[in-house]
Amino acid sequence: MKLKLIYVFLCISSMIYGQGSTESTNTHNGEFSFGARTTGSLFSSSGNYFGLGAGGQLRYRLDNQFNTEWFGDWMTTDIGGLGQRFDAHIGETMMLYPFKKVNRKFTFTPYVMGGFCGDYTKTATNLHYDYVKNTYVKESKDRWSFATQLGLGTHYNLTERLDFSFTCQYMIHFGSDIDSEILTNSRNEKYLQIDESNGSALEGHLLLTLSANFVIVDLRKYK
Amino acid sequence: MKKLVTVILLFPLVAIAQDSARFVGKGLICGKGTLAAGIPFGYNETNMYVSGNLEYYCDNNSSYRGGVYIFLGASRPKSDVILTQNSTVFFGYNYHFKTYNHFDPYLGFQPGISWTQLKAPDNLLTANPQFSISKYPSSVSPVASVTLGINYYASKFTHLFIEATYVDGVHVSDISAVSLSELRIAFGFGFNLWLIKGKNKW
Repeated sequence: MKLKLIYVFLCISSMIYGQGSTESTNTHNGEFSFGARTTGSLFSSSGNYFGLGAGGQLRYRLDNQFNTEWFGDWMTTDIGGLGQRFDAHIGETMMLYPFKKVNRKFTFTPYVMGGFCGDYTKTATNLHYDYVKNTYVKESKDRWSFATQLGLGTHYNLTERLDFSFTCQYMIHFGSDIDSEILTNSRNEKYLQIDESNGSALEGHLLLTLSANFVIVDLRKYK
Repeated sequence: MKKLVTVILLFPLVAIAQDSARFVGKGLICGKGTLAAGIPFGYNETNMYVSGNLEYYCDNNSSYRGGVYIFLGASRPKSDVILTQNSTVFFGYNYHFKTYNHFDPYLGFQPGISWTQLKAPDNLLTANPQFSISKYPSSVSPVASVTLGINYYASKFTHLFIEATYVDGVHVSDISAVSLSELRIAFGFGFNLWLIKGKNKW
Protein backbone atom coordinates (compact mmCIF):
# COMPACT_ATOMS: atom_id res chain seq x y z
CA MET A 1 0.00 0.00 0.00
CA LYS A 2 2.81 2.34 1.00
CA LEU A 3 4.69 1.56 -2.21
CA LYS A 4 1.57 2.22 -4.29
CA LEU A 5 1.09 5.59 -2.61
CA ILE A 6 4.72 6.55 -3.29
CA TYR A 7 4.31 5.45 -6.92
CA VAL A 8 1.13 7.57 -7.32
CA PHE A 9 2.84 10.56 -5.66
CA LEU A 10 5.85 10.27 -7.99
CA CYS A 11 3.61 9.95 -11.05
CA ILE A 12 1.58 13.05 -10.10
CA SER A 13 4.74 15.05 -9.34
CA SER A 14 6.34 14.19 -12.66
CA MET A 15 3.08 14.97 -14.51
CA ILE A 16 2.82 18.40 -12.84
CA TYR A 17 6.51 19.10 -13.58
CA GLY A 18 6.01 17.95 -17.16
CA GLN A 19 3.04 20.28 -17.62
CA GLY A 20 4.89 23.20 -16.06
CA SER A 21 7.90 22.79 -18.31
CA THR A 22 5.67 22.58 -21.39
CA GLU A 23 3.80 25.75 -20.43
CA SER A 24 7.00 27.65 -19.70
CA THR A 25 8.11 27.13 -23.30
CA ASN A 26 4.88 28.77 -24.64
CA THR A 27 5.42 32.41 -25.41
CA HIS A 28 2.85 35.17 -25.35
CA ASN A 29 4.65 37.72 -27.51
CA GLY A 30 2.49 39.10 -30.28
CA GLU A 31 -0.75 38.76 -28.34
CA PHE A 32 -3.19 41.61 -28.87
CA SER A 33 -5.93 41.99 -26.29
CA PHE A 34 -8.84 44.27 -25.58
CA GLY A 35 -10.20 45.07 -22.13
CA ALA A 36 -12.77 47.03 -20.15
CA ARG A 37 -11.73 48.72 -16.92
CA THR A 38 -13.01 50.41 -13.79
CA THR A 39 -10.67 52.85 -12.05
CA GLY A 40 -10.91 54.28 -8.56
CA SER A 41 -9.03 57.47 -7.66
CA LEU A 42 -7.82 58.27 -4.14
CA PHE A 43 -5.89 60.98 -2.29
CA SER A 44 -5.91 63.76 -4.89
CA SER A 45 -5.27 67.41 -4.07
CA SER A 46 -9.05 67.88 -3.85
CA GLY A 47 -9.07 65.75 -0.69
CA ASN A 48 -9.38 62.11 0.24
CA TYR A 49 -12.52 61.44 -1.75
CA PHE A 50 -13.07 58.33 -3.82
CA GLY A 51 -13.61 58.87 -7.52
CA LEU A 52 -14.93 56.21 -9.86
CA GLY A 53 -14.27 55.83 -13.55
CA ALA A 54 -14.89 53.65 -16.57
CA GLY A 55 -12.70 53.04 -19.56
CA GLY A 56 -11.01 50.63 -21.87
CA GLN A 57 -7.57 49.40 -22.87
CA LEU A 58 -5.65 47.64 -25.61
CA ARG A 59 -2.60 45.50 -24.88
CA TYR A 60 0.13 44.43 -27.24
CA ARG A 61 2.69 41.96 -25.94
CA LEU A 62 6.22 42.69 -27.15
CA ASP A 63 7.82 39.78 -25.36
CA ASN A 64 6.96 36.97 -22.94
CA GLN A 65 8.12 39.14 -20.02
CA PHE A 66 7.14 42.53 -21.44
CA ASN A 67 3.71 43.94 -22.28
CA THR A 68 2.32 47.34 -23.31
CA GLU A 69 -1.06 48.78 -22.38
CA TRP A 70 -2.83 51.68 -24.12
CA PHE A 71 -5.67 53.00 -22.00
CA GLY A 72 -8.41 55.62 -21.70
CA ASP A 73 -10.39 56.50 -18.55
CA TRP A 74 -13.12 58.93 -17.55
CA MET A 75 -13.55 59.50 -13.81
CA THR A 76 -15.82 61.59 -11.61
CA THR A 77 -15.25 62.40 -7.94
CA ASP A 78 -17.77 63.90 -5.58
CA ILE A 79 -15.85 66.35 -3.34
CA GLY A 80 -17.72 66.10 -0.06
CA GLY A 81 -21.11 66.93 -1.61
CA LEU A 82 -19.79 70.44 -2.37
CA GLY A 83 -18.29 70.04 -5.82
CA GLN A 84 -16.95 67.61 -8.39
CA ARG A 85 -13.76 66.71 -10.11
CA PHE A 86 -13.60 65.12 -13.57
CA ASP A 87 -10.48 63.37 -14.85
CA ALA A 88 -9.86 61.98 -18.32
CA HIS A 89 -6.68 59.98 -18.94
CA ILE A 90 -5.30 58.69 -22.22
CA GLY A 91 -1.94 57.01 -21.95
CA GLU A 92 0.46 54.15 -22.29
CA THR A 93 1.95 51.80 -19.71
CA MET A 94 4.81 49.32 -19.93
CA MET A 95 4.35 46.12 -17.93
CA LEU A 96 7.29 44.02 -16.84
CA TYR A 97 6.80 40.47 -15.54
CA PRO A 98 9.62 39.60 -13.11
CA PHE A 99 8.77 35.88 -12.90
CA LYS A 100 9.23 33.35 -15.68
CA LYS A 101 5.86 31.60 -15.48
CA VAL A 102 3.28 34.00 -16.87
CA ASN A 103 -0.43 33.97 -17.70
CA ARG A 104 -1.14 30.41 -16.63
CA LYS A 105 -4.73 29.40 -15.99
CA PHE A 106 -5.96 29.97 -12.40
CA THR A 107 -2.69 31.58 -11.28
CA PHE A 108 -1.60 35.11 -10.47
CA THR A 109 0.98 36.86 -12.68
CA PRO A 110 2.42 39.86 -10.83
CA TYR A 111 4.03 42.74 -12.72
CA VAL A 112 5.67 46.13 -12.30
CA MET A 113 4.25 48.89 -14.45
CA GLY A 114 5.13 52.44 -15.42
CA GLY A 115 4.21 54.91 -18.13
CA PHE A 116 2.88 58.29 -19.04
CA CYS A 117 -0.40 59.86 -20.05
CA GLY A 118 -2.04 63.01 -21.25
CA ASP A 119 -4.96 64.16 -19.16
CA TYR A 120 -7.78 66.63 -18.78
CA THR A 121 -9.00 67.67 -15.33
CA LYS A 122 -11.94 69.88 -14.42
CA THR A 123 -12.95 70.92 -10.92
CA ALA A 124 -16.38 72.50 -10.40
CA THR A 125 -18.18 73.73 -7.32
CA ASN A 126 -21.83 73.19 -6.49
CA LEU A 127 -24.07 76.24 -6.23
CA HIS A 128 -23.12 78.22 -3.11
CA TYR A 129 -23.86 81.69 -1.74
CA ASP A 130 -21.24 84.34 -2.50
CA TYR A 131 -21.45 87.20 0.03
CA VAL A 132 -19.43 89.59 -2.14
CA LYS A 133 -21.61 89.13 -5.22
CA ASN A 134 -24.70 88.66 -3.04
CA THR A 135 -25.97 85.78 -5.11
CA TYR A 136 -25.62 82.02 -5.65
CA VAL A 137 -22.66 81.14 -7.85
CA LYS A 138 -20.81 78.12 -9.15
CA GLU A 139 -17.24 78.11 -10.37
CA SER A 140 -15.07 75.78 -12.38
CA LYS A 141 -11.51 75.49 -13.57
CA ASP A 142 -9.93 73.06 -15.98
CA ARG A 143 -6.53 72.17 -17.35
CA TRP A 144 -4.72 69.90 -19.75
CA SER A 145 -1.54 68.32 -18.45
CA PHE A 146 0.86 65.43 -18.73
CA ALA A 147 1.36 62.80 -16.09
CA THR A 148 3.61 59.89 -15.32
CA GLN A 149 2.70 56.80 -13.33
CA LEU A 150 4.34 53.86 -11.59
CA GLY A 151 2.78 50.90 -9.85
CA LEU A 152 2.27 47.21 -9.25
CA GLY A 153 -0.33 44.85 -10.60
CA THR A 154 -1.32 41.28 -11.13
CA HIS A 155 -3.25 39.30 -13.73
CA TYR A 156 -5.45 36.40 -12.73
CA ASN A 157 -6.12 34.16 -15.69
CA LEU A 158 -9.54 32.52 -15.73
CA THR A 159 -8.87 30.98 -19.12
CA GLU A 160 -5.77 31.05 -21.30
CA ARG A 161 -7.16 34.10 -23.09
CA LEU A 162 -9.27 35.88 -20.45
CA ASP A 163 -7.68 37.55 -17.44
CA PHE A 164 -8.78 39.86 -14.67
CA SER A 165 -6.12 42.40 -13.69
CA PHE A 166 -5.82 44.49 -10.56
CA THR A 167 -3.33 47.37 -10.43
CA CYS A 168 -2.31 50.03 -7.96
CA GLN A 169 -0.50 53.05 -9.44
CA TYR A 170 0.67 56.43 -8.26
CA MET A 171 0.22 59.12 -10.91
CA ILE A 172 1.90 62.54 -10.80
CA HIS A 173 0.51 65.36 -12.96
CA PHE A 174 2.74 68.13 -14.30
CA GLY A 175 0.52 71.11 -15.13
CA SER A 176 -1.23 74.23 -13.92
CA ASP A 177 -2.52 74.28 -10.36
CA ILE A 178 -6.15 73.14 -9.98
CA ASP A 179 -6.23 72.86 -6.21
CA SER A 180 -9.46 73.34 -4.26
CA GLU A 181 -10.31 73.44 -0.58
CA ILE A 182 -13.37 73.22 1.61
CA LEU A 183 -14.04 76.45 3.57
CA THR A 184 -16.77 77.55 6.00
CA ASN A 185 -18.55 80.91 5.59
CA SER A 186 -19.94 83.21 8.30
CA ARG A 187 -23.26 81.32 8.27
CA ASN A 188 -21.31 78.18 9.15
CA GLU A 189 -22.06 76.72 5.69
CA LYS A 190 -19.36 74.70 4.01
CA TYR A 191 -18.42 75.43 0.41
CA LEU A 192 -15.71 74.51 -2.05
CA GLN A 193 -13.25 77.16 -3.17
CA ILE A 194 -11.10 76.69 -6.25
CA ASP A 195 -7.61 78.15 -6.09
CA GLU A 196 -7.45 81.22 -8.37
CA SER A 197 -3.66 81.17 -8.81
CA ASN A 198 -2.32 80.62 -12.32
CA GLY A 199 0.86 78.86 -11.23
CA SER A 200 2.01 75.35 -11.98
CA ALA A 201 2.01 72.50 -9.52
CA LEU A 202 2.87 68.84 -9.12
CA GLU A 203 -0.18 66.88 -8.13
CA GLY A 204 -0.44 63.18 -7.42
CA HIS A 205 -3.21 60.65 -6.93
CA LEU A 206 -3.46 56.94 -6.29
CA LEU A 207 -5.30 54.89 -8.91
CA LEU A 208 -6.75 51.44 -8.32
CA THR A 209 -7.83 49.67 -11.52
CA LEU A 210 -9.79 46.48 -12.04
CA SER A 211 -9.97 45.26 -15.62
CA ALA A 212 -10.99 42.26 -17.70
CA ASN A 213 -8.96 41.51 -20.84
CA PHE A 214 -9.36 39.07 -23.66
CA VAL A 215 -6.66 38.08 -26.16
CA ILE A 216 -8.34 38.75 -29.50
CA VAL A 217 -5.54 37.66 -31.79
CA ASP A 218 -1.94 36.49 -31.79
CA LEU A 219 -0.36 38.86 -34.31
CA ARG A 220 2.82 36.73 -34.52
CA LYS A 221 0.85 34.23 -36.59
CA TYR A 222 0.36 36.83 -39.33
CA LYS A 223 4.04 37.75 -39.63
CA MET B 1 -43.53 9.89 1.98
CA LYS B 2 -39.96 8.72 2.35
CA LYS B 3 -40.09 7.26 -1.18
CA LEU B 4 -41.37 10.55 -2.57
CA VAL B 5 -38.52 12.50 -0.93
CA THR B 6 -36.03 9.98 -2.33
CA VAL B 7 -37.49 10.34 -5.84
CA ILE B 8 -37.37 14.17 -5.57
CA LEU B 9 -33.75 14.03 -4.42
CA LEU B 10 -32.75 11.58 -7.13
CA PHE B 11 -34.51 13.39 -9.97
CA PRO B 12 -31.93 16.20 -10.43
CA LEU B 13 -29.12 13.62 -10.42
CA VAL B 14 -30.85 11.67 -13.18
CA ALA B 15 -31.50 14.89 -15.11
CA ILE B 16 -27.85 15.99 -14.76
CA ALA B 17 -26.63 12.55 -15.80
CA GLN B 18 -28.74 12.76 -18.96
CA ASP B 19 -27.35 16.21 -19.84
CA SER B 20 -23.76 15.10 -19.90
CA ALA B 21 -22.66 17.38 -22.78
CA ARG B 22 -22.00 21.06 -22.34
CA PHE B 23 -24.18 23.25 -24.54
CA VAL B 24 -22.35 26.60 -24.60
CA GLY B 25 -19.02 27.16 -26.30
CA LYS B 26 -17.04 29.29 -28.72
CA GLY B 27 -19.13 30.73 -31.52
CA LEU B 28 -22.42 31.07 -29.66
CA ILE B 29 -24.13 34.43 -29.92
CA CYS B 30 -27.08 35.29 -27.73
CA GLY B 31 -29.28 38.23 -26.98
CA LYS B 32 -31.67 39.07 -24.19
CA GLY B 33 -34.40 41.63 -23.88
CA THR B 34 -36.48 42.06 -20.76
CA LEU B 35 -37.70 44.34 -18.02
CA ALA B 36 -35.45 44.86 -15.00
CA ALA B 37 -35.98 46.15 -11.48
CA GLY B 38 -33.37 48.22 -9.64
CA ILE B 39 -33.16 48.45 -5.85
CA PRO B 40 -31.10 51.54 -4.95
CA PHE B 41 -29.06 51.47 -1.74
CA GLY B 42 -29.06 55.25 -1.24
CA TYR B 43 -32.81 55.88 -1.17
CA ASN B 44 -36.05 54.00 -0.86
CA GLU B 45 -37.67 53.31 -4.23
CA THR B 46 -37.59 50.74 -7.01
CA ASN B 47 -36.31 51.79 -10.41
CA MET B 48 -37.70 50.20 -13.57
CA TYR B 49 -35.81 49.54 -16.78
CA VAL B 50 -36.09 47.97 -20.20
CA SER B 51 -32.85 46.08 -20.60
CA GLY B 52 -31.20 44.31 -23.49
CA ASN B 53 -27.81 42.87 -24.25
CA LEU B 54 -25.86 41.01 -26.89
CA GLU B 55 -23.20 38.46 -25.99
CA TYR B 56 -20.65 36.52 -28.02
CA TYR B 57 -18.79 33.49 -26.65
CA CYS B 58 -15.22 34.23 -27.72
CA ASP B 59 -14.02 30.96 -26.22
CA ASN B 60 -15.59 28.11 -24.29
CA ASN B 61 -15.56 29.92 -20.94
CA SER B 62 -15.67 33.61 -21.73
CA SER B 63 -17.81 36.03 -23.65
CA TYR B 64 -17.92 39.69 -24.66
CA ARG B 65 -21.10 41.41 -23.66
CA GLY B 66 -22.60 44.80 -24.39
CA GLY B 67 -25.86 45.90 -22.86
CA VAL B 68 -28.21 48.76 -22.22
CA TYR B 69 -30.65 49.64 -19.44
CA ILE B 70 -33.22 52.24 -20.44
CA PHE B 71 -34.75 53.98 -17.43
CA LEU B 72 -38.55 53.92 -17.36
CA GLY B 73 -39.17 55.54 -14.00
CA ALA B 74 -39.52 54.66 -10.35
CA SER B 75 -42.29 52.93 -8.46
CA ARG B 76 -43.22 56.01 -6.43
CA PRO B 77 -45.59 58.98 -6.82
CA LYS B 78 -44.10 61.26 -9.52
CA SER B 79 -43.57 64.09 -7.03
CA ASP B 80 -41.32 61.93 -4.83
CA VAL B 81 -38.96 60.33 -7.36
CA ILE B 82 -35.26 61.11 -7.05
CA LEU B 83 -34.06 60.60 -10.63
CA THR B 84 -35.79 61.38 -13.91
CA GLN B 85 -33.04 59.72 -15.92
CA ASN B 86 -30.73 56.82 -15.09
CA SER B 87 -30.09 54.94 -18.33
CA THR B 88 -26.87 52.95 -18.67
CA VAL B 89 -24.71 51.42 -21.38
CA PHE B 90 -22.35 48.61 -20.31
CA PHE B 91 -19.54 46.73 -21.96
CA GLY B 92 -17.40 43.95 -20.51
CA TYR B 93 -16.74 40.25 -20.17
CA ASN B 94 -18.51 37.29 -18.61
CA TYR B 95 -16.73 34.24 -17.27
CA HIS B 96 -18.84 31.08 -17.72
CA PHE B 97 -18.28 28.32 -15.17
CA LYS B 98 -17.78 24.90 -16.67
CA THR B 99 -20.84 22.66 -16.53
CA TYR B 100 -21.80 19.40 -18.21
CA ASN B 101 -25.37 20.26 -19.14
CA HIS B 102 -27.50 23.08 -20.52
CA PHE B 103 -27.10 25.27 -17.44
CA ASP B 104 -24.62 28.13 -17.82
CA PRO B 105 -23.76 30.02 -14.61
CA TYR B 106 -21.68 33.16 -15.15
CA LEU B 107 -19.86 36.00 -13.45
CA GLY B 108 -19.52 39.29 -15.30
CA PHE B 109 -17.49 42.47 -15.03
CA GLN B 110 -18.80 45.44 -16.99
CA PRO B 111 -17.84 49.09 -16.62
CA GLY B 112 -20.39 51.48 -18.07
CA ILE B 113 -21.65 54.98 -18.58
CA SER B 114 -24.92 56.24 -17.08
CA TRP B 115 -26.91 59.19 -18.32
CA THR B 116 -28.37 60.61 -15.12
CA GLN B 117 -30.55 63.54 -14.08
CA LEU B 118 -32.18 64.53 -10.80
CA LYS B 119 -35.82 65.51 -10.62
CA ALA B 120 -36.49 69.17 -9.79
CA PRO B 121 -38.78 69.68 -6.76
CA ASP B 122 -42.39 70.41 -7.70
CA ASN B 123 -42.63 73.40 -5.38
CA LEU B 124 -39.50 75.44 -5.96
CA LEU B 125 -40.63 78.23 -3.61
CA THR B 126 -40.43 76.02 -0.52
CA ALA B 127 -37.18 74.36 -1.58
CA ASN B 128 -33.72 75.33 -0.35
CA PRO B 129 -32.58 78.34 -2.53
CA GLN B 130 -29.74 76.24 -3.90
CA PHE B 131 -32.26 73.68 -5.13
CA SER B 132 -34.59 76.27 -6.67
CA ILE B 133 -31.78 77.96 -8.63
CA SER B 134 -30.29 74.78 -10.04
CA LYS B 135 -31.26 73.88 -13.62
CA TYR B 136 -30.87 70.17 -12.72
CA PRO B 137 -28.48 69.42 -15.57
CA SER B 138 -28.12 65.86 -16.76
CA SER B 139 -24.69 64.31 -16.52
CA VAL B 140 -22.70 61.39 -17.85
CA SER B 141 -21.54 59.28 -14.92
CA PRO B 142 -19.07 56.39 -15.14
CA VAL B 143 -20.27 53.28 -13.31
CA ALA B 144 -18.81 49.90 -12.35
CA SER B 145 -20.79 46.68 -12.27
CA VAL B 146 -20.53 43.02 -11.34
CA THR B 147 -23.10 40.48 -12.57
CA LEU B 148 -23.95 37.03 -11.30
CA GLY B 149 -26.42 34.97 -13.26
CA ILE B 150 -27.44 31.70 -14.82
CA ASN B 151 -28.72 30.76 -18.29
CA TYR B 152 -30.62 27.62 -19.12
CA TYR B 153 -30.44 26.73 -22.80
CA ALA B 154 -33.89 25.25 -23.17
CA SER B 155 -34.04 24.82 -26.94
CA LYS B 156 -31.97 25.24 -30.09
CA PHE B 157 -32.70 28.95 -30.38
CA THR B 158 -33.88 30.14 -26.97
CA HIS B 159 -32.74 30.22 -23.37
CA LEU B 160 -34.03 31.29 -19.99
CA PHE B 161 -31.98 33.43 -17.61
CA ILE B 162 -31.93 35.14 -14.25
CA GLU B 163 -29.25 37.58 -13.16
CA ALA B 164 -28.40 40.16 -10.51
CA THR B 165 -26.13 43.12 -11.26
CA TYR B 166 -24.56 45.34 -8.64
CA VAL B 167 -23.97 48.83 -10.06
CA ASP B 168 -21.86 51.47 -8.33
CA GLY B 169 -21.43 55.13 -9.27
CA VAL B 170 -22.34 58.67 -8.35
CA HIS B 171 -24.40 61.38 -10.06
CA VAL B 172 -22.85 64.84 -9.79
CA SER B 173 -24.35 68.15 -10.93
CA ASP B 174 -24.39 71.61 -9.34
CA ILE B 175 -26.19 70.46 -6.18
CA SER B 176 -25.58 67.57 -3.79
CA ALA B 177 -24.35 64.32 -5.33
CA VAL B 178 -26.59 61.22 -5.37
CA SER B 179 -25.32 57.67 -5.15
CA LEU B 180 -26.17 55.44 -8.11
CA SER B 181 -25.45 52.22 -6.20
CA GLU B 182 -28.18 49.69 -6.79
CA LEU B 183 -28.94 46.03 -7.36
CA ARG B 184 -30.58 45.36 -10.74
CA ILE B 185 -32.48 42.13 -11.13
CA ALA B 186 -33.58 40.78 -14.50
CA PHE B 187 -35.02 37.52 -15.73
CA GLY B 188 -36.74 36.26 -18.81
CA PHE B 189 -35.81 34.58 -22.02
CA GLY B 190 -33.39 35.27 -24.83
CA PHE B 191 -32.37 34.05 -28.25
CA ASN B 192 -29.22 32.20 -29.22
CA LEU B 193 -27.56 31.19 -32.45
CA TRP B 194 -24.36 29.34 -33.38
CA LEU B 195 -22.11 31.37 -35.65
CA ILE B 196 -19.67 28.49 -36.17
CA LYS B 197 -21.05 25.70 -38.35
CA GLY B 198 -21.35 22.24 -36.82
CA LYS B 199 -21.14 23.51 -33.26
CA ASN B 200 -24.82 23.16 -32.43
CA LYS B 201 -25.08 20.38 -29.87
CA TRP B 202 -28.85 20.33 -29.59
